[in-house]
Amino acid sequence: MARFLIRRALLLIPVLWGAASLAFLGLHMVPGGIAQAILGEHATAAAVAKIEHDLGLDQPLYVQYGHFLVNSVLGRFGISFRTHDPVFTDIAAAFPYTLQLSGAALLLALIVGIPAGVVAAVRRGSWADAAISTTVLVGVSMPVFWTGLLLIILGAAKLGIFPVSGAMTAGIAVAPVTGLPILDALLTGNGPAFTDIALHLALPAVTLCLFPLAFIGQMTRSSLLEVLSEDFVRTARAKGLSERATIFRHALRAALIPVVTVVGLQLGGLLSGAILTETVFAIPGMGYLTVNAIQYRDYPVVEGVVVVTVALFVVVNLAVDFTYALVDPRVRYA
Amino acid sequence: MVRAVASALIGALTLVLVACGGGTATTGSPAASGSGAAGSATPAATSILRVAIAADPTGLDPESVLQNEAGFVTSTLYDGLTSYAPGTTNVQPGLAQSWTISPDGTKYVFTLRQGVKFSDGTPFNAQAVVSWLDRIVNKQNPNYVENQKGINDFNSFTFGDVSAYKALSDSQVEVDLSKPNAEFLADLAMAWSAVVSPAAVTKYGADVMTHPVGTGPFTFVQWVKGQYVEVKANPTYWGGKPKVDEIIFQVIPEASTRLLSLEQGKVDILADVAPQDVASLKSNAKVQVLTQPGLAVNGIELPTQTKPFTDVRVRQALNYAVDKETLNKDLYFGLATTMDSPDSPVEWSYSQQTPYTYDLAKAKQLLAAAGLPNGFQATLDTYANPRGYNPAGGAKSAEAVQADLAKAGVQVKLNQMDFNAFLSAARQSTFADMSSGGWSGDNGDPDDFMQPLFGCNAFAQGNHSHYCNPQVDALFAKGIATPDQTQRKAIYAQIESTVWQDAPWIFLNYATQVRATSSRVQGYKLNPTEMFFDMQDVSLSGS
Repeated sequence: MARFLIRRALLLIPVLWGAASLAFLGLHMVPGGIAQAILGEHATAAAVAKIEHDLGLDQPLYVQYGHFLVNSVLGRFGISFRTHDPVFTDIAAAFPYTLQLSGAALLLALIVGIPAGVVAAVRRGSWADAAISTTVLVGVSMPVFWTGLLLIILGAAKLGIFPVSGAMTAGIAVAPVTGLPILDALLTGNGPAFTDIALHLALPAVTLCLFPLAFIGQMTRSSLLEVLSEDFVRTARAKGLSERATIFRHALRAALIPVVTVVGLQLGGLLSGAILTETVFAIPGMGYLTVNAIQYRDYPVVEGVVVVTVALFVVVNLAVDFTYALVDPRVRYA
Repeated sequence: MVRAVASALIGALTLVLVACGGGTATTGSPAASGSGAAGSATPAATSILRVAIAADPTGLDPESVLQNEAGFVTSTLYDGLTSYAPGTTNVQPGLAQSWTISPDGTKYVFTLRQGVKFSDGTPFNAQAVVSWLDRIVNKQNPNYVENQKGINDFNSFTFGDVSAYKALSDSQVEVDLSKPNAEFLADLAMAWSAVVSPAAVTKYGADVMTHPVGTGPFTFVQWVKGQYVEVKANPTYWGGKPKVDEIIFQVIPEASTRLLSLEQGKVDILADVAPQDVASLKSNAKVQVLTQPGLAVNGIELPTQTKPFTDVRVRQALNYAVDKETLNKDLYFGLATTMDSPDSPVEWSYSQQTPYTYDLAKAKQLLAAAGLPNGFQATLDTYANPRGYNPAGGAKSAEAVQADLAKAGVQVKLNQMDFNAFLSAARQSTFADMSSGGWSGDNGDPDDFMQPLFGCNAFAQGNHSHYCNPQVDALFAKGIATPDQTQRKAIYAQIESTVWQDAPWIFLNYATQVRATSSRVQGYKLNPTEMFFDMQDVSLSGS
């Protein structure tokens, strides 16, 4: 187990290095140049040259790459070209919003997706199965920015229940405990803030959950169908267990192994989906940070976001691997 | 273990369900719950004006902002020595009540408004102005603006010629320029040239970007990054007490979301309105659409030093070959007017020229006279994204122009690039293609508006047509050195007429500035520079 952990942790290094280098090269190879992008068309040639010098962009690419690698290893992603804040500060401020959104979306996807998959499998061929499968298909097919706008029109404009956008109403303040606004509001017993944040979170979370929900539902259905035809299920039924116990205690547990994999993979999808969702709903998370940074060629922020996101993705995948051991006693680590 | 995980999961699910339950219990009043919570800190009758902006400001120090959104906010917090008369770019007194200019145009003496204080209580006087200038101009100043790396260079644009400054008395300041700069007073009125409290600069240093202190109609409350900036009325504002208690600049990046927010009454003013949304907004009784001709020009730059564009008949022919009226109607939804001068109609220097009215026969005739009866082939470089001066985006207007030119026998190949790559390519001295061109004015002065587009030394800035007429250049030099506005008007009229005849562009249109407000907003006036000036005059009916 320990050896496995160390091996996987060491594997992190080349993956992170590769991703960070790709981000660095990709950004620096884009024609146009950062100084021009920052200053826009009104800048004189002298102003462009000054900014290039200020930001070290007039140095050879390998020197800039060297600085970038050393700083990345030390966790210093530099200063945002645009906001002049340390990149780490910007990421730390944005991350809780993305975590909150992705977490809420994943929870919704699990809460709805797994039962829907179970119902569809158990009632295979029924109208419920057809309805669920169709909904799943629609869920997979809808782009999040479109779903987001539809939900805003329905939930905010027509029903007037939810706010149109934002993370919380201006004027609402939450004392920081964990850094996650919704959790902090709960922990500090700030009822109005909690309600406000939850209402703001509802539509984006529903928007973002549709895709993983569809996947989880689909995977639960097909996996459970496969398991239900296996010998041990027949044995369980034969020894007189109730159908409920057969499905939930025996079949579902085995069927959830591939679902765990899907959940792990969906986390990456959640992060990328969050970019669009956050933009549509004006949530100041990692997605919003990334979009702004790319728009302004804010290299340090883009690089910082890439390194942090890749690290997260890899760690989550590692965690998923460990989860196998929890749900499947056959999996052992050597 | 499994059981532990399962119970943790169930716990989490319960939490979410409770959360949803909590949400449903208070349905129908998200706005009310918000203002209720805000109400714990402020009286219930607080009138709040909400402005939707597309991006988080880059900083709230006027000397180091990078985009319009930052200027939107700072224009409510600060004042300049001069200001723009409401709704125009005509310069009028601001923090300086009056001024005198030496006959050679290099010495300015400003008489300052008395009894004005910054929002931190620091008195506004000659000393404050001197420290403010020192921070911008003096490299030895510990808080020298450009010590902060990577900031915009508007400071050299406005203050580059400032050679000396001193307090003559408590209320008089002298500012000397190394050479005459007739647009100096207009520069001082820009949102980027506002006066910052010297005490705040000493206290916060570069962090004054997040702790703005000015003399403006509103004072800073808080900036929740990525979400909103909140400012509150300055009850002792020298220009009169603001009619709303607060302004909240709400960051909403997505255009459709901004639109819905206005339609739902969640925001009161939209700072950016896409032309295609205007029709639906106009049909909404709860919304008013405000328009003003833009301080902007949009056209196609012609490579005047490359054949066959060296021949003025060819350039004029292309101007006649494009149907601008149809373009304005179809592509810009009627929110653009055909150019009839290289200058914008909102500038005091504007003088109307005879328009190049669409005339295909005349275009063909001119091409034939230039020895090109069968037309020619050329490349037109462009970009996709909308710009302030071209809300339809470069590529869309370039396609329309391409179709029109084809009718005159001119076959144009479009080369679309990322905007930044486009800009870098067009700024090279070797650039020799046609290109999408445009400009938004900064300060309302004709020099700022036309020199970067048609000056011989501006190839690396806005003059991608490499147009260089020594006569025009001499007039530009004369215009910037002449302090008297009446004399300047005559000079720029000559420039406009010559450039118009020389046709270095296919002159297309002036994009209309469009903003939308809820119908309860009263007294709000657009400014050609697009900043939120004179917000003390804005009120909300029913509050």
